[in-house]
Amino acid sequence: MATKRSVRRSLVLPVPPARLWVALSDPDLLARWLGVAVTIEVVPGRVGSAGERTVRIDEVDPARLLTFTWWSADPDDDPPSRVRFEVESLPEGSRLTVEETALADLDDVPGRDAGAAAPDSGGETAAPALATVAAVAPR
Amino acid sequence: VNEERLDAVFFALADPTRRRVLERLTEQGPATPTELAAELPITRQAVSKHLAALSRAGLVEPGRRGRETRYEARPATLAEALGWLSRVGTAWDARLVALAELLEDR
Repeated sequence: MATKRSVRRSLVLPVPPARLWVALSDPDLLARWLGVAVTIEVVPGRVGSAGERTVRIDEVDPARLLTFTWWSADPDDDPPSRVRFEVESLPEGSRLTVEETALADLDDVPGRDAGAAAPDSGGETAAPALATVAAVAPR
Repeated sequence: VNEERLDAVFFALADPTRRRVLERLTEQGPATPTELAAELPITRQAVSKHLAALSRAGLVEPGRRGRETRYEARPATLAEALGWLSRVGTAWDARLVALAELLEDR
């Protein structure tokens, strides 16, 4: 019943999906257009950072879909949110649709504690977090 | 930021009649339910229901005026709720311009 706050943008880029995907999934390229330092491996369950925020990769379907959850350690900042990048192939290139949805509560972010405690950790701490995601979020 | 409150704001604003009530209170100042029912094509009962939803969202605030309750618009609540949307939207606008430029360069 509650209406989720969500922002959506869509644009057509004159490059094929495979090339767009590199810009969405390579940390160095991501950093260049997101405008913040990015340390994350784009693999489901991995936890890293984008600027001040902790990032957890949720879904990865190369050249098609990337979703992640990000949040700030500062409780005065915006609440955690989920970001979805969707790539569609077009005759003239690709369409990228970006959607960011605020999560209602910190409790909506499974694995947040693991991520907050060790922002740069790899697969070890991320694995239980991913299991929690699968169990908690069949949306 | 109180997320429950923000959900209530967006729920309250999803209804055109409630938007109309809020618009009236914002433009012309506080009013009682009786006054609102007289001015708008809404029954007194419906006005009370809509005011309750707006009040839960913090978009209006009830105050006493003689024997009747008078409602006042609270525009600050709306500004706060829209803050996230405009902040996040503006951030993506800037990032996507940078992405388009990056892809042009390569």
